[in-house]
Amino acid sequence: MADQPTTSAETSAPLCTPPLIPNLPDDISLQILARVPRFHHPFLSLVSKSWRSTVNSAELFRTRSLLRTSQFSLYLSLRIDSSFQWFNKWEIGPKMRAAREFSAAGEWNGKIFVMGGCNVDNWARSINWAEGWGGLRCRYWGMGNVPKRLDLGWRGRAAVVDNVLYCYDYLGKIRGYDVEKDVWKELRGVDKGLPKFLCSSTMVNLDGKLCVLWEGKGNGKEVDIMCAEIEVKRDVDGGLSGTILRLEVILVVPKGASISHCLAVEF
Amino acid sequence: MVTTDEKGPLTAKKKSVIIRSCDGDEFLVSESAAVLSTSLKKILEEKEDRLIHLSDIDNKTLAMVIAYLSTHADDGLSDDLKRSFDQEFVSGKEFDVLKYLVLATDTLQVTCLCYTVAKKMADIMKNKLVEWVRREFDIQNDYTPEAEAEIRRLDAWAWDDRQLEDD
Repeated sequence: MADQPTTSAETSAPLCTPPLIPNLPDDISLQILARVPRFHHPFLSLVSKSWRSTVNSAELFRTRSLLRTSQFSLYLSLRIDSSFQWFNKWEIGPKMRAAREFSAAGEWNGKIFVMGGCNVDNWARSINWAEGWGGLRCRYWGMGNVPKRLDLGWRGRAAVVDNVLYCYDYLGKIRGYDVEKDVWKELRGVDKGLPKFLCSSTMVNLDGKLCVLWEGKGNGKEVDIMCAEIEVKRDVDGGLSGTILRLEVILVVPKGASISHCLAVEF
Repeated sequence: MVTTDEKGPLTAKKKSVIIRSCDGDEFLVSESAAVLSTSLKKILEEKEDRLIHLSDIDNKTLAMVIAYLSTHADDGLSDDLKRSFDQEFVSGKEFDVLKYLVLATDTLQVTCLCYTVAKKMADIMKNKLVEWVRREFDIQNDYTPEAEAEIRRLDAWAWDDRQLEDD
């Protein structure tokens, strides 16, 4: 009795979905849509409902990734007039093993990792320089010792490009940390192109390029958000050098606004 | 030619196949060109018959695909020349022609031509109005006017300063 005939009719319904393009197999249609640059995707979405769901589908993203037509975008979170708006409900998690300020945090494999921003002046603290948290009902666990040089040299926002951790130091220079050699190296070749002090700068890995963002001067009423895209490479002598590919104002915001976060997203 | 025959009688004469379109036209194609199509290659492996009848590809489209296959089978042409041939091959072709071509590449399984045509179609489409795309592909608009207006509102940024064509 529970097995109603309508069940089978419902389950067979998706099979009757019309093709994306009449008379063309969907895999061919997908090949065509995947070659339309993402900038034009809103217009593809308007063609029909099935086009809209395809544009937003993981399948189209996979096809575009394989074709290398997927693109990276920068997402900026700005603080304007010192007001933040939070849309999520926050809950307090368990205490970390080390007290931190301005630490880096990220999510990987369903776990949250926090590192830096703490004193490592004794053994107990140094083994907790980086710690992980597996979610509800879990405790933090220490991740082991950190190379002292790495901790001392790491300032502010950082980004990893080709296994080198880059950050911006007090003297206004970009430096990269070589994990194998345990040494910080100055990024050569970018001095002339970049201003001496990058106000509230942040960095991000944008499709293999080091992207530096900072607040520029503007006209008094507004602030320019500047962006430099830098190609970084290892030199024969083991040093690091960069080439500024572009440097421009990417956004103009009201005075008093500041960069809070920056993310590179591929889609 | 004579010397070639004397030196290598086995390789002197290239094998050919005849391919017939759905409207009855026949094309003589070298086997080396035909086997660039995965479907034709399979057919040739399975049967001795040198005549292949394609029931869903018309003569104009078939002629274009064969020109493409023959160029790509030509060992005397460099890869650069083949690439510029590909660009010229799709340039200036009507959207309708490209639709038949892409469908034929699916039937014949000629992946590289399929991708070249798909790229050209995408390039044409991106500057067209939504209505144009629906008309060319014969796609029914299944949005209600309200739903369509809502999507246009959500992605309003995408419609600024855009010059879209309807022909």
